[in-house]
Amino acid sequence: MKFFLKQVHLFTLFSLILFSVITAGFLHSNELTFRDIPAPYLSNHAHYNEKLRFLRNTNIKPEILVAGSSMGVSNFHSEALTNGFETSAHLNISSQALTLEFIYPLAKVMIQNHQPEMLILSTNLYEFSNRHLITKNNLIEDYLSGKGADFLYHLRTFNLSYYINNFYINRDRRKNISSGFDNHGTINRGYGGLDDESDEEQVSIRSVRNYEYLYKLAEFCKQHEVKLVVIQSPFRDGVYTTIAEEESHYLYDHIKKIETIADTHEIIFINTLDHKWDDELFSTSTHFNVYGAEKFTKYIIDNIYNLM
Amino acid sequence: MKLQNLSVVAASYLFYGWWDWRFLFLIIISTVTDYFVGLALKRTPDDPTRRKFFLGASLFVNLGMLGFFKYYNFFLENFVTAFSFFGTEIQAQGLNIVLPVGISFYTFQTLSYTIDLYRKRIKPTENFIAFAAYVSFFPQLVAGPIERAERLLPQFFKNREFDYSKAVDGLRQILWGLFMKVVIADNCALMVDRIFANPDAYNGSAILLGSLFFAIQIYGDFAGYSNIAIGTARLFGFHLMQNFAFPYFSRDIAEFWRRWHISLSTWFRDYLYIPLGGSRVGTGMAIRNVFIIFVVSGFWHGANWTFIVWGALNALYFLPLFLLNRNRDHLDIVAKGKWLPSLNDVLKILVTFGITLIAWVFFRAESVPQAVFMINEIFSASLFEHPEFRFYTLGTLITFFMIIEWFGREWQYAIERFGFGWPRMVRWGFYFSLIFAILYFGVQEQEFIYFQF
Repeated sequence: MKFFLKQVHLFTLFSLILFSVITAGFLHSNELTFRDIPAPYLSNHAHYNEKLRFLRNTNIKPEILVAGSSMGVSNFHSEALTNGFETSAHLNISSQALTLEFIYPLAKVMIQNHQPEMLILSTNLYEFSNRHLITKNNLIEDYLSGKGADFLYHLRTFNLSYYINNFYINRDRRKNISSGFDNHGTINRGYGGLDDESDEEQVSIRSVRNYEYLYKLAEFCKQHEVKLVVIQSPFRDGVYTTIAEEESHYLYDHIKKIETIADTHEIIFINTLDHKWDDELFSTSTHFNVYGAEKFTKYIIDNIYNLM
Repeated sequence: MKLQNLSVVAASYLFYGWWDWRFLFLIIISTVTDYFVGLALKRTPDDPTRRKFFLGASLFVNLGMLGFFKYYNFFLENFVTAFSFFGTEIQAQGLNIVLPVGISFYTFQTLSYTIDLYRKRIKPTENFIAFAAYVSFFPQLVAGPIERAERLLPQFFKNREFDYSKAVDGLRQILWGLFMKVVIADNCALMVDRIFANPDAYNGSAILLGSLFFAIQIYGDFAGYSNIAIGTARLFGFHLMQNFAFPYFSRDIAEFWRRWHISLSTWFRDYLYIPLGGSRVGTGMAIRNVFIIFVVSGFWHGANWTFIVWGALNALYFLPLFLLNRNRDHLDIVAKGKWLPSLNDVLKILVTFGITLIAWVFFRAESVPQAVFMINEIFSASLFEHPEFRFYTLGTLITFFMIIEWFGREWQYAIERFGFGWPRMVRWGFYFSLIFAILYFGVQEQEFIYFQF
């Protein structure tokens, strides 16, 4: 037994040394530091995990929450929000890849933890699509509530390929190759014009489940006396005016569904498709650049004040 | 020794109860019934009527539990369908039954005890703790190998002491089992689930690849579990039977079935096929026996027509060999002592693997029509189109895996003696690379396929 244990120890030592050598080589060749370690693997979407880490570490006690997918992350302008609502107590909890199915549990935890006055839900067709994430909701709840040390979550969710494949996110932010969150969790998309048409395909297959989650979220907000504002985000004019008839019906049907839920749940619904949004305000078909985000945020705030 | 056995029982019950403690009662019922049936059979050595009664009681309890939990809804649904076919509508509500993990395995294991006692092949034990440990032995409780009492039970009466070489061997087998499960099977599962969930969206080449990945997945999953179970038992000083012997290198279907899920195949052979008369009856009856054993084996896997068709298809594959008396042509290991097989062997292996693949489509499909659709697609012109996905990484992993399996085919498991001639650091480097692959390629938790049986 003694000899066996000795061999096991030796093998463990051997493995650790080898692992350290490989890790050092990997870090060196990719110009990485330990500060670039991705957030704990709480979902299979690295950007969402980074947002969760941001939300856990922020000191802001929000009165206003902004939720949604990538359109929520980048279509709002933090300074415009601060000026418009005359408070800096706002937090953008949106993240890439979130549909209502995943926005709902996140918003629930954030509302329970912070009791905000308002939740602005920025949506487009993506939030209602059948895209699926794998998330560890129980852990996310504990994580956002500040329970336990960070490394415990790394330990419980350890996934080597996730770390190796996502080190670059924080490295690129550190090196200013890509933008990181501002103090409120927003990432605006630069000052340039259209630079990426890759996400043109917005009219993806809708999932009925997501309308049910909107319904649940509305109920939850009502119970907790949080004013829910739902926004139909715009398409850039060049795209919106050329939407095919079939897709237009699809969009119309989608908006009708939201309006029905809004009517029965005291939700403020702002359909920004009623307004013309010039192409130069966008960096993609649905994502604003900084100018667009600022204009859009002011437009939303004006509408909220008018409708309240 | 008593304390050791008690620890095994406690650990096994804890292990099983962790999943759902309520189902522990089923194991306890099975254990208590067969323990007392064993004692009763001992007291009635010359009373065939009472012996039959006691055996019947054991069969009733064990197969009754299995039948209720696994097959109740299936029979009910088919009963209703059959009646409606003849114009009589019956209203019947299926029950919301949860299938207890491993029930097919431990009921068969404990049944082998009472049947062997009835046949006077073994002697009953009066040691309840040892018997409870035999029924519930945790490494193989939920997915086998299905051990026989005459092999496993005596091991609970021997003093077990730590043995260095057995412990190292056990760890090595666990490592290979984990690699098979986590790296190979789970990564195949991602592709397989996608394709079998929506076969209409894929062309023939993609469906063929999906079937191939499933063949590898089920092997990696089940043989991987067996390796983990055997290795774990070995760490505790127990020796469990080999459950898989490199079945995909078989040269005909008969050889495949001597190498695939050996503990179940031999169970059916000894407790079903031979009692039915085996091959020592007329040709017609022998054909019937072959069909019965394969169809029952299929049905054992699950209450679905897909498994029955899978079993029947294997019977059809086997029958020509059986009728031509060629089913024992390949009792040896392919290309034994050589690096590469002959061209003849390669062709035989490919044909055997090919027909197995077709059968696996039925095994994995949601329904028989879905399986038929998929097979039609495989044999359509779309077989020659590019598949709709890329699989370089998975393909590389599978190739690496099959190469190691090929070179290790003469051993109990592929890496049993792999690299024994190498310097220790190089061998350890190989083990490290397997651990690294397990950590790197490990995907989301995937349950073992055979837990559902």
